[in-house]
Amino acid sequence: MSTARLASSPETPEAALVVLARKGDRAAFEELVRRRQPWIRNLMRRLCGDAVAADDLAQQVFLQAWKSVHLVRQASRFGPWLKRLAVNTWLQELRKGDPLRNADEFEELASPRQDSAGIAMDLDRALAALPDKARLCIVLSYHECMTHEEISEFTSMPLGTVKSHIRRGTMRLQELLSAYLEQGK
Amino acid sequence: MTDERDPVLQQLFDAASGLSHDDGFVAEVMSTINRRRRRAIMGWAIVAIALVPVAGLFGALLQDVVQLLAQVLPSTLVDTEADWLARALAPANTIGALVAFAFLVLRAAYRRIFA
Repeated sequence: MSTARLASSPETPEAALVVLARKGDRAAFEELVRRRQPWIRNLMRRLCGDAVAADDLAQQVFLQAWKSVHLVRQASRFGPWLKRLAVNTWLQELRKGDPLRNADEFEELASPRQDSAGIAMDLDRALAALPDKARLCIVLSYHECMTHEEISEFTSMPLGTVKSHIRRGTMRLQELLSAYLEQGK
Repeated sequence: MTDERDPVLQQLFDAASGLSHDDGFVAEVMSTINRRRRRAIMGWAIVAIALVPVAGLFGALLQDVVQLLAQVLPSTLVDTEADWLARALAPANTIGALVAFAFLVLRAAYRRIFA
């Protein structure tokens, strides 16, 4: 199979695409973006709480990935590398952002929604009401299904702090999303 | 607390992760990459074009500087009597080695202070 066909084939393993992208193959990188964009955009939406800002940040993540994909040493570890890049991009955005962005009161949910978009909107609003570090820990735990130890290692936060953020964050989310939780019981 | 997650919250997170493939997003990322690449090529082309008259103006001066450096950098720092010692120390016992060492020290200090 020619390099061009390999790069744009949906059956090509991700590691092979990463190897091609490292050499500057844009078709291979485009296929990587195509495969990874729903995951990164979802992750950014959970972290940002704003769909437009999340998509802008997701775009920045992929632009940064293109610039530094040559630094990926193990092609099979592209996913974790991209996740770290995404979280770092979000953290950088937080540092230059408006400190009062989460000051709005969370409005009580009228009734739980059934559609995916509606649930996502309510969940993102509830997540936006959490402190930044707690939100990061919660998203890594629930959205990324990472263990507390993995989150601690990933964020360089002490394990006890991670557990505390997750415990408090979970309690706050249970409170804010009580309409859904009552329905789920 | 163990790693156990609230099952209802977990269901909400799973249900919210419904974003599917968006070709518009992919196209936008790739067009931005192409645009930036074109801009970088243009930038380098402008720099290269600008360098031509600069090279014409300062070419002779640059050649003199290079010649001077080629004479000065290999100069021995400390003269030694023994021939074997002079040979052993040759790579480090030059002005060039001193300059390189000073550069490495300054770079390490910069990284320690600002990194």
